[in-house]
Amino acid sequence: MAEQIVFYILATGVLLGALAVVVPPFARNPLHAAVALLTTFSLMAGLFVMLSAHLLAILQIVVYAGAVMILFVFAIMLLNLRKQDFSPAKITAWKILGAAAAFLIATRIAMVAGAAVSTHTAVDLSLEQYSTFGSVHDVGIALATKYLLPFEITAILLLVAVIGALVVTRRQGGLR
Amino acid sequence: MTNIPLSHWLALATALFAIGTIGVITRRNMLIALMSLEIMLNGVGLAFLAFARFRGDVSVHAAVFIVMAVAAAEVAIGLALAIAMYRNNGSIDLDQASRLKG
Amino acid sequence: MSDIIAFSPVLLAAITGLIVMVLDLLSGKNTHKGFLGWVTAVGLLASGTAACLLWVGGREISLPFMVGMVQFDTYGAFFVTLIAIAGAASSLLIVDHNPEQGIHDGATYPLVAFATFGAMLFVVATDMILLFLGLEIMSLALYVLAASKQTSPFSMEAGVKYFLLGALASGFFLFGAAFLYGATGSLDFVTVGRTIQDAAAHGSGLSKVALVMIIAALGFKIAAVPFHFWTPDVYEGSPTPISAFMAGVVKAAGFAVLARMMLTIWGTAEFSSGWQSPGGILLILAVISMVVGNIMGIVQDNVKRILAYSSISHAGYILLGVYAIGLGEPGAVGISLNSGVPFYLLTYVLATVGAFGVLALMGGQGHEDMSLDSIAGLGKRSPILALILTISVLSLAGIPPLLGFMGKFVLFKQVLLADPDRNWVWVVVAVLNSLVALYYYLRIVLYVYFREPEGEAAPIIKSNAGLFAVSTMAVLVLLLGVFPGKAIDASNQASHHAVLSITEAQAAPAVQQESAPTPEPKQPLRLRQVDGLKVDPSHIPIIRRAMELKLRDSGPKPK
Repeated sequence: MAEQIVFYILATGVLLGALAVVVPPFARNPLHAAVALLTTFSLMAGLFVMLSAHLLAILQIVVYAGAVMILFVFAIMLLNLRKQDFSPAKITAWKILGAAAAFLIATRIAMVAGAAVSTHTAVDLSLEQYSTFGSVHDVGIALATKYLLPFEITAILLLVAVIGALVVTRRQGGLR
Repeated sequence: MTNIPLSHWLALATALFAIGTIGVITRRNMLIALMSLEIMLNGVGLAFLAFARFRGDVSVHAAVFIVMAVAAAEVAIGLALAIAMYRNNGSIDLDQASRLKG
Repeated sequence: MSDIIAFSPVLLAAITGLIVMVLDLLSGKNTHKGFLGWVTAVGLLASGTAACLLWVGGREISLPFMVGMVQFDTYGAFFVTLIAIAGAASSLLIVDHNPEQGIHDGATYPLVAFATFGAMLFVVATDMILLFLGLEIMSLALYVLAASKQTSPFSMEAGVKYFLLGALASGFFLFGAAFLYGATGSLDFVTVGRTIQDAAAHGSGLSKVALVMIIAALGFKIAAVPFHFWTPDVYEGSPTPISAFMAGVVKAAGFAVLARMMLTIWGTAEFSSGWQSPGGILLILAVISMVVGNIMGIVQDNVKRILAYSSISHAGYILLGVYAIGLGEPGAVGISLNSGVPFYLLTYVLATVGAFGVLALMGGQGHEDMSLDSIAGLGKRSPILALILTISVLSLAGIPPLLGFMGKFVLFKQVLLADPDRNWVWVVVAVLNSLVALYYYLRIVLYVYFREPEGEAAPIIKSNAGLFAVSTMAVLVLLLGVFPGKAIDASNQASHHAVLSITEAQAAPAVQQESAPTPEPKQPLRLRQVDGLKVDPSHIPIIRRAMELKLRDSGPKPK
């Protein structure tokens, strides 16, 4: 019972945070949006813990709530945006259509998926398994065995991102 | 453990994903669009982890780990584009940046 | 070790990127960076060649961390080579285009190499996560390349637009992958496919969601219709060599993966039963892509936009070929990729890279506007470029002696033969669409040869590298158009291998053995004259199969 209560509190918090980022009235001030996003990220880490994904919960805090948030806040400060930059969007028919379609599809997905998994129950982990499930040890082994190749190739992805960010932001003028 | 049915986890993940999608589609501000993108990817991560827990399969955590790295790289590029766009246009307004006809 | 060697064609592209990056740094600030384009092109072509040498016929993989992650077969070799050619052509086009456009950044070359690497990885990967990484490496590099002309607001806008929609597509892909994992407990194609086919009922809702999401994500990349909004804007705004890259490489890679996924994962006997089946969804996308692409193409006045809409309509034709997968063979496990799809992609990529390439060579002195007016009179100013553009555009239109005609002929024929009773409707639609498309293709030719420029004409860039690239494309289009046997044979092998390697991997032993398609016997590559109609010998088994199908249909219906 206690678990359910925690889940619903966390889920509500996550959803409210996400809505506050997206829905115009709340998201006028960029820093407010960033804080709302931070809330979502942090509470999400709690949900990850409930799913026994301990390492990823920590990473969620470190990578998303830490690094990515810093990037966002840094960009907001750097760009020195004014309030009017965050005024509500022009509402066009396409946008309404898109949003409505997204909403309908999401509802449909939730229904289909919910029906499909209604009988699924979580695998019972033994106490020993439970103590390691989602730990650095287990995830590390998966990363170094099954997912070794993607793990290595992530390095190239990060390299591309670094070069890309440099190319885009570097001022160009004549031959470098 | 885990008395919450899988469907609840999936509903939450789908809701986050949908909120993120709607944000990317409708908001005019590049930064907000990027934040919405992160919300989408968080929803995906939650779905992955919920399935992993219900299947008792930890190896997919590694996949989520990689997805996190990708998401961070994506945001870095996105913010770089936002900064370049600001330098060019003096704003990061996506609606203003529609000289091309759509 | 042998597995690392087998992986080397893909790695070679990444190594090319690294080498070019270091050369860029070493070459100092004030040198012309053009030679990097040649290095990139040579490196990419080397990786394509290596793929042909190493992968044809398929390779066993034994390293544990590569089993199920990647697959090296003729199918992969075919597409990696195609991607390498298109990537090399793009990097050669950049050599003189970029300085004229005021882009002096040597870092564009490593990004092109890495984008090609990503596309290659995308094609050979058979695991969702590796596939996603390939997709992202390709896309991240392209977002930046699209925005690389920083003095132009159009280029910046193209980059931002491509980024937002591309990131959305990646999100869709991952969401689909998550649900696929939920449905099957695995992320590699073979296991996923086997599980879905074994337990069709179990978790079918999840796999349906995954199907829709993944088709949507790949639809963005191949620019099929409901997901095409970005295409004209991004192709128009990006530097033209990058548009060529996107139209060629990204589309080829996207279709290679789409076809492979459809075969491996959703390739059950119900592939094309009803509108909600995978085949049905693909058919809908195919038809609206053709129609919308061609109708919108007619009303455009900008050549880059015309080519963008043409690429959308071509996506429609190819999707029709992918739709015919499930109909390829009569019988319960009748899943095969018809060779029309790889072959059509070959014809499309060569012609479209050629066409965009010529436009790239008309962007001198920072000229950006590519309206029909600005290319008017090209026939007088540069007969060679005019000829190459004409060849490419007419090939896209499908005018007989050129490669594009063979592509359409083979593709439509195979779609028709897959299910003659129902598919004739779609083939008629496709042929009518090609006729409509003639209008805007001929309009380009008309402007090139018979109109005088009214406003400012696009200045032509003198570029050996670029001219070499586009004339190679044009020569290939001409030569392969007249002698298509070898190319068709290669596509045949590629498509059969796409099936074989999967059925082998999925071999729930001996159950489906007798229905597994056998490779066609090697036949001489001559075209034979049969009743005045040219028939490629390699098509005879297909025709025979269609006749068997007809016989079977006239007898009592099985089931």
